[in-house]
Amino acid sequence: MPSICSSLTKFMGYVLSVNIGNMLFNVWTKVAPVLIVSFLAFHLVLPDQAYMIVLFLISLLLGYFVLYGFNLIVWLSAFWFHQTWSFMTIKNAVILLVSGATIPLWFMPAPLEKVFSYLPFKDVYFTPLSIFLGQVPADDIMLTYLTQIGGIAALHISLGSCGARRRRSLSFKEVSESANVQQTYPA
Amino acid sequence: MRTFSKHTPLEYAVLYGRFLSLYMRSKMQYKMDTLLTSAAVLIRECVTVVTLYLMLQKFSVINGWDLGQLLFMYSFVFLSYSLCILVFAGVRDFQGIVHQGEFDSYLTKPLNPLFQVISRRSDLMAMLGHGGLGLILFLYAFREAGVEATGMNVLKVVLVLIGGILIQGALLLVPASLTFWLTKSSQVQEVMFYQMRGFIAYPISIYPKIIQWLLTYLLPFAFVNYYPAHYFVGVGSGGDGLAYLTPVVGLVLFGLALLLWRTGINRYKSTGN
Repeated sequence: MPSICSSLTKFMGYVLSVNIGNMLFNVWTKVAPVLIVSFLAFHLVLPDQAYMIVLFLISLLLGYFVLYGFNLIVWLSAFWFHQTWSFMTIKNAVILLVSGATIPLWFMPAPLEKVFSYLPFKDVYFTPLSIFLGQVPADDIMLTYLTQIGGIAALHISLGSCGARRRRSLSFKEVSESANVQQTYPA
Repeated sequence: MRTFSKHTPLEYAVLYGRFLSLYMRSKMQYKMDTLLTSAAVLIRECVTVVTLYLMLQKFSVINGWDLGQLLFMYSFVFLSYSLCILVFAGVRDFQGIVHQGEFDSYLTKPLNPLFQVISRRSDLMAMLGHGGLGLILFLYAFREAGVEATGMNVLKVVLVLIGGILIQGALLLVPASLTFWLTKSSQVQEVMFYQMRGFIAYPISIYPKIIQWLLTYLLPFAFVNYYPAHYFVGVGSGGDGLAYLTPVVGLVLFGLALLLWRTGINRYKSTGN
C-alpha cells in the first residue's frame, strides 16, 4: 500500500515523536507529582552546585535515547512475533535489574558489577544517577557521556542491520501499535 | 433474572470447565506468545527476588527478618496471586471486557454475569510464572525459616492461601465494580491493587504507621503474607492473633466487594461498542 510505503521513509521519526509525546505526558502526570512529594516528604537532597544538575540532565537525556534504542529493538521484533508483550516485559525486567534502577551497581557482588559496567544497560539509569549523586569526578564526565553516546550508536547500528532485512515486508501498523500498547496487560 | 437461576452447582462446574477450555483454545492460537507469557512473568518476578537477595547480601537482616524468613514471607504473595489470577483473571481484565462490549453479550445469557466474568477467562500462563516462582521459594524457604512440615501447618498454609486469594480477588473486584461508575478503572486498579501490593514484598513494619494501618484495615494486603508469616516464623512485631484472621478477612472483604458489584451492576450502561 502506498501510504505505508511513504510512512516507511519517516517511520522511525514517527515512532520517536509518539514516544517523546508520551514521555512529556508522563513527566507532567507522573514525574512532577513524585518530585513535589519527594521534596516535601523525604527532603530530597539536591547536588551542591547548580551546574551538576545540568550535567545530570544531559546524561539523563542520553540515557533516554539508550533506553529508546533498547525499546526499538523489542518493538521491531513485532515483525517476527506479532505480539511483543512478553519481550517488553522481559526487557523491562532485565533493564530494571541490570541498569542499577532498583539497586545501585555498587551493591552488586564485585564480578557482577564488573560485567554490568561493560554493558550499555547502566547508561539508562545508573550513569545519570551517579552524576546526580556526585559520584562521578568532574574529569570523567565527558568520558561517561561518550560511553552513553557509544551505547546509543551500538544499539542503533545493531538495529539498522536487523531492521533493514525486514523493511520490505514490514507492517507499519504493528510497530506503531506495539510502541503504544506497552502496559495494557498487567499479568 | 431469578427465573433463570436454576442451575445446579454441578452444571456450574461443567460450564466452568467448558468456558475455560474454550478460552485456552483461543489463547493457543498464538502459541509462541502464550508460552512466552509464562517465561516473561517468571523473569519479571525473579527480578524483585534477586533485588531482595542482593540487598540482603549488604544488610543481612531487614527489621529482624533474615533472607530465609523474607523469602518464606514473599512466597505467599506469589502463590496466592498466582491462584488469584487463575480464578479472577476476568475480574482483573473487567474494564477491557466492558470496553470491548463483551459484557453486553454476557448480560444476554441466562447465567449470572459475575460467574461468566470469572469463568470465561483464566490467566493460566501468568499463573505458571507466579506460581512456579512461589513454589520454588516456598519449598526452599520454609526449612530455612524454621517452619516444620506437619499436617497441621499444611492445613494452616492452605487456609492462609485461600484467605489470600479471597483478599486479592476482592481487591480486584472493587475496581472492577467501580467500572460501572467510572467506565475506565484501570488507574484505580493500578493504585489500589498493584502499587499497594508492591509494599508487601518487605515486612510492613519497616513502613510508616499510616501505611501499616492502610495495609491492615483499608486494603488488607498485610493479611496475605505479613501476619501469617509472622505467625509461622515468630519474627516481627504486632498482632499475634491476627494471622488467624486471614481467611475471615478474605471472606468479609469478598462479601463487601460482592455487595459493591451488585449495587454497581444495576447502573450498567453499555459503552455502545
